[in-house]
Amino acid sequence: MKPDLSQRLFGLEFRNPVLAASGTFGNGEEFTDFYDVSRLGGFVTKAVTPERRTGNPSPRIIETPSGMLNAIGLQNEGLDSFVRTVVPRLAGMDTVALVNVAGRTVDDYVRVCAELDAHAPVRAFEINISCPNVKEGGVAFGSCSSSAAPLVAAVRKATSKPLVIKLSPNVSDIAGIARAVEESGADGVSLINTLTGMVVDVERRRPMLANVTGGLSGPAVRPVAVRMVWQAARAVSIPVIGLGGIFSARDALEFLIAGASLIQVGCGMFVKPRLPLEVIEGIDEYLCRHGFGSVSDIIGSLRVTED
Amino acid sequence: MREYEAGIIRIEPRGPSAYAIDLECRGLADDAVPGQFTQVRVSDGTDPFLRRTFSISGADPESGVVRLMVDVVGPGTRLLCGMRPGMAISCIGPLGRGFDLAAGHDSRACLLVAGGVGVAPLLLLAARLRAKGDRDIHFLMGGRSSDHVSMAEDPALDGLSVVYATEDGSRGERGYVTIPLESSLREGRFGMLYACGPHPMLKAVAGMARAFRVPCQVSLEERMACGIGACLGCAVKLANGRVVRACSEGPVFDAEEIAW
Repeated sequence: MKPDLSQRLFGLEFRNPVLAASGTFGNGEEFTDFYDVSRLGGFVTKAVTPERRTGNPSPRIIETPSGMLNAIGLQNEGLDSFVRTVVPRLAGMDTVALVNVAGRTVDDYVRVCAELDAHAPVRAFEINISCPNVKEGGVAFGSCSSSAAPLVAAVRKATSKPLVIKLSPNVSDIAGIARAVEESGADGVSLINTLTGMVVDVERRRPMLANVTGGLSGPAVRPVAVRMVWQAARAVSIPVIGLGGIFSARDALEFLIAGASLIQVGCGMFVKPRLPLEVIEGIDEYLCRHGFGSVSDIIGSLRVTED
Repeated sequence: MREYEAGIIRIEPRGPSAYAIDLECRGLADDAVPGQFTQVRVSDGTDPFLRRTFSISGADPESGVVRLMVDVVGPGTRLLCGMRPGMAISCIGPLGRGFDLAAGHDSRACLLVAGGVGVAPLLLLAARLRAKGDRDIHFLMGGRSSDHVSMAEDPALDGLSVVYATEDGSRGERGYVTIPLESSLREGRFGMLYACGPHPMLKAVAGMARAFRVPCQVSLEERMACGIGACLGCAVKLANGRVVRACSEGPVFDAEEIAW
C-alpha cells in the first residue's frame, strides 16, 4: 500500500511534507518549466514588505564550502504590487501558499498581515523575524524572546490565518524563543533561517559581499539546523517546520525524525531544480522500506536512548 | 528552459588556462540564441556547491553540438576542464535574454567587442549574424596578454577581421580594447555595437558608444546562484532606478539602460 504523505496542520491540508523555502522559489513561477507546483506540499513566497524595496547592492552572493552566503536584502515590489499581481496568480496554484512577511517595525508586519488577511489564496503567513541582511527589523526581532513575543502578539491580532514564525539560528536559546512565540499565539515555527557569515577577498582585503556579511545556507549548515529543530520540537507543542541544507531525501528524513512536521528545501533547488520531487519520492520509498503507513509515524521518532 | 544531461564530446585548450568544451546537447543546440547562457553542474557532491554560469559560444542545430568557452578561474572550472570526453554533465538552459540581432544596423557594419572570456557569447553572435547575411562584421578582442585572447581563435570567426589588443602588448596593439574601439568608431560607419567583458570594460565601451551615438548592447558578467530568476542574487541597477535580474531581464541589456 502507498504510504500516506499528507499532513493536516493548523487547519491546512498539505499533500506531502515538502515545501519550497522563501527566497529560493520566487513567487512560485520560476520552476514551472521543471514541474507543476501542485506536486509540492506547499511553498513560501519571497518576503513581502509594506513598501517596495530594492535590496542590497551587488555582489549579493558568494559560494562557500558546501553552501553559499547571500545578502539580497529583502528585495520585493511591496504590498500593493503583491496584492495586485501575485495574489491572483496564487489563486490558480493547487498547493498551499504561505506568504513570508518582513518589515522594519511591528507596524510593518501588522500592516502586511492585516491587508492580506482578506485574500483567500494566502493560506498562511510565515513571519520573518530572522533575516540577517537588513539594518532594521528582521533578525533584530528574532534574536531574543522579549522582542519576538510582542511582535507575534501584535500580528496575531491582525489576522485569523495561521502564523508560522521563522526563527533565526543566531541565538543562544532557540527553545526559549520557540516557547515565547508559541505563548504569544504562533501556530507553528519554521527554522532555521540563515547563519550570519562573512567571506574575505584576501587579495583585495575586502569583503566578498557588498553588504559585508550575509546569510549562510546549504548543506554546510544542516547539522546545526537539525540540532535546532530537535531542540525546538521538544520545547513546543505547535508544529515545527524544518529547513537548512536539505539536498536529498535522506537529509529531509533527518529533520522529520528529529521532530519537524514539514520540511522546506531552499538553495539546493538552485543546483537540483527537481530536488523537491526527489525528496518526496525518497520519503515515500523510505516509508515503504521501513513499513510505515504514514509520514506521521516517523515525525519526532528519534530514539535518543537505547530501548 | 530545461535540464539536460549533455555528453562531453571534446575539450580543447585555447591558450594556457582556457578551454573550448563541445557538448552533445540537442535541446540547447536547437533553442539557444546568442547571449543566452547555461548553468552547468560541475560536481555530483556539494563542493563546489553552485552551478557554474557559461555563455553559449556555439549552438549547431544540425549536429546538436553546443560549445562553451571556459576560463579556469577556480576549483569549479578546473573540475569541469579536467573532465573527459564521454562523461555527462547536467546543463540547465537556455537561460536569459539574448542579443537583438535585428536592431539598429540595417545594411550598416557592426562591431563586436570582447574582453577576455567575454568573447564567449560573441562567437555565437558572430556566427548567427553571418548566417543571416550580415557581411560587414568587425571583431575587437582584448585581454591581459596573448594567453588571454586566444579564445578568439575559433572557427566562428574564420574569415573575419579580428583586431587584437593586449595590456602587455604581447599580441596586437598595446593597451585596452577601447583603443582600437575608438579608432573604429571614428570611421563612423557602424550601426550597432555588441560587447561582453568585465564591468569596467563594458562601462568604458558604453561611454564611447554614447559619445559616438552608436547603439550598444552589452552582455553583463554577473555572479549568479540560481540562474533562473528565483534568488535575486544577480541584481543589476538600471538608470531608471529599478533593480532587475541579470539572469532573467538580462544578461544582455541596451547599454543606455544600465546605471553604470
